[in-house]
Amino acid sequence: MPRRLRLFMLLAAIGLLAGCAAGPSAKLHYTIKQEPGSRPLQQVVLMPVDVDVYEMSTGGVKEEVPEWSDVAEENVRSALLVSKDPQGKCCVTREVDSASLTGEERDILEEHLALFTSVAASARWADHPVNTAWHFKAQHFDYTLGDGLAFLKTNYGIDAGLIILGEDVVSTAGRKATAVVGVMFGVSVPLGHSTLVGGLVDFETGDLLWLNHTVSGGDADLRERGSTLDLARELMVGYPALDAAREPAPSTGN
Amino acid sequence: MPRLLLVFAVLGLAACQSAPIKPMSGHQDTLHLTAEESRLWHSAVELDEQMENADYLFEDDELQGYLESVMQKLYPEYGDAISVRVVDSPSLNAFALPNGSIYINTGMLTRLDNEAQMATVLAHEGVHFTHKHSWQQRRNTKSSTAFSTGFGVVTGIPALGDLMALSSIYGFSKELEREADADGFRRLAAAGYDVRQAPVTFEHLLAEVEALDIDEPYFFSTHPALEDRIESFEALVRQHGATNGYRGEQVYRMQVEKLQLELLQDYLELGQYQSVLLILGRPDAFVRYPLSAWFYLGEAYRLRDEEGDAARSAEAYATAIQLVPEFAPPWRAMGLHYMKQGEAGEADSHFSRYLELRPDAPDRAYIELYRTNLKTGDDH
Amino acid sequence: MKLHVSIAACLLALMLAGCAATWVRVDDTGSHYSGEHYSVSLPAGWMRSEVGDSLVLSRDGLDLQRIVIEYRPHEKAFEELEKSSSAGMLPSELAELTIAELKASQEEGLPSLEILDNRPMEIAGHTGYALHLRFKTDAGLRIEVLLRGFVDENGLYQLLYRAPTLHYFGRDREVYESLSASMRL
Repeated sequence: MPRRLRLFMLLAAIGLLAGCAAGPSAKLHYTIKQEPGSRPLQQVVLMPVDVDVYEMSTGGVKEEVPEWSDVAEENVRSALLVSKDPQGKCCVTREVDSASLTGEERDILEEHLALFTSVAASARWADHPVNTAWHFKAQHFDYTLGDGLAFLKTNYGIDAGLIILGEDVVSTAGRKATAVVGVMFGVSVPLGHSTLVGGLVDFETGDLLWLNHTVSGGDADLRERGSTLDLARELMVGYPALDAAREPAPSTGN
Repeated sequence: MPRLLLVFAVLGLAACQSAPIKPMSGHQDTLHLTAEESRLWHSAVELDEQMENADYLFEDDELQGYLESVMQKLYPEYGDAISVRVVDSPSLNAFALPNGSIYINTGMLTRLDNEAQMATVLAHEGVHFTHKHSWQQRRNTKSSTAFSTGFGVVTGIPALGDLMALSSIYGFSKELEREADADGFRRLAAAGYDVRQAPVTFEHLLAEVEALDIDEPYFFSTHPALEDRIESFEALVRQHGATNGYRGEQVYRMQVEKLQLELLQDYLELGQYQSVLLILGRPDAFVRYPLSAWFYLGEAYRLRDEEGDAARSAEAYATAIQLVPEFAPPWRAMGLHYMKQGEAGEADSHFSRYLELRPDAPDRAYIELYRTNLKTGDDH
Repeated sequence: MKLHVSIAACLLALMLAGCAATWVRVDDTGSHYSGEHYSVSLPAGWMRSEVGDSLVLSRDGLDLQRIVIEYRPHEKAFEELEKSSSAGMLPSELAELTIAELKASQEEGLPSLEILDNRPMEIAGHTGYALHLRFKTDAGLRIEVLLRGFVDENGLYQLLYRAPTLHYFGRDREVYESLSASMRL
């Protein structure tokens, strides 16, 4: 799936494009909220991380810089592989091994990732401050992708997958100078931002067990390892603890 | 001047002038890209993927092979660095992405008369790639004030919201388009094509744009762009002084024949009966269509629904039935015509023949309903 | 197609401008909508909103499933095509114009539009058409659409159901079928 479509939809839902601030972000599936620990997960894989890093020119044109995106993806990947929840448990047991899937399985997975975007966007939209009538959906969070990924549980023994999407917009020096001049004229010139969106999907049922996003107005930089780690930690707030205590996942470099 | 624009104008004065961009000289140059070029390529590859994912392409190996062979003749030193794909769309459009992916619509292909005309379009688009026009345009306008506002809103394609997509599809600056004409023309002549066909290519398109009052933003659908192409190619032909060359009319017709009826069907499904009337209204074009085109002509009259069109459509259906009696659709159309005229017997016999010829008709349920209603005298 | 245009406008307004269209949750026991031109039974627990002459329903969000019911006077039936409908139109002709209007709307993914089924159907005591369509979004997500319509002497009535093929289309189809069966003029 084209990355920018995925992100555009999500960012629209989060409210970045309208300059709105969405409400508190982390959401837990209602079953976990009602009974913590009711969804035991042994094997949680990190799905392929999808991060786009753009450079914003003086004129405000956003253009992806593929090599920066690669660096950011690697940083996010590493950060999540070493991140621990407050109980000291890791976020994931390992990374998904896409190469071991059949072509048909990969296609099914790809379409479900596209569906995840729609589901996550709808969930965030329902939680938007202006959509008060929909807020009950955020209270009784029951979003799902359906059971189309159950084969990952039955064939490969994977309980759930952590899906991470991200975007970072880095302003050029010219753009930053524009902002400075803009201040003199009383005009606000938008600069960059860094965003991460995360969702944990139970493969057996398709239920979205946890959904969160974090937005930094320009202080963070996903091209920087440390900065990424901080943002990833912020993102993982409220992430449901894994049942099996385990050693931190190795940070493989592939 | 709005204050935001003033801010950009102040800073725009400081925009640096970069060194001129050198065109590529062959396949090997595509292997050494600057970081900035790589970004454009990356966007282009994403657009390629998007076109494929959403099933926008007309997949036909034979046609694909043919287009690539023409491209090879025009750009032999580029090997497979240039690819041509057909977009399944009736719009008059062709465009080149900065990574050498060239797209041409089925609508454009069916409007052209011969290989030389198609080669004119491909040669022109090829220059946009070899001369790195996307990069040039991007560098010139990246910092411009005009570009800073409302981009996504104007294009309506926020997902493609970058300069690469915009200029590729909607056209480059006048200078770059002229350069594409001139260098494309040289390629056309070097490949042995009849270069006198070059201006004719755009004359056809212009006639259609004018006749149908086409209002598409695509480069090859816009009046000034087409007039400029005609003027530019006429001047090039005069300078060249050529009097012969390869046209490839027969081979071209064989390749695009399969698109012809499908395109007429596409137009009718889009409610664009005017295009069908215009295409089939050209006697030299009509004779190149299969005889079943009479049915599509009848459908176009029916959809236009002006005074006298019911009779015109019935006449066209009747001609189709007479010339191609085994072709099912005119039997159905004639059945509907008779039904509306209140001629139940004729309507039923035509419907019956339609279902005989096409037992798996996708609209069988409607026809059976109409036949039942004809028997019971019901309105619907 | 107007059904799509109005939804697109609604989405844009809701998502980008943050405007608050009035959404109301349908009672847990279900309820009945009775408008100027038609009445229908509404599904329990779904959200409903009125956008112009359209009634819009969704359970989880417009991207995941939406049902739209719309009445249009004959002269505004097919605005993209600049064509009217009329009381005497055949159901197959209505279906043909509906598909043309849909294609002319140039909504994302429509170049890949497939017509899976097209047949006549009795709705609210009128013979109309019932279309089953499928297309793929630019992101590669298959979307299925059920679209039904009929005319009377006043105008054109259309009922649309649209959802991703994965999970949602099949799950919520029955709701649309019940709603369609409950429609009365």
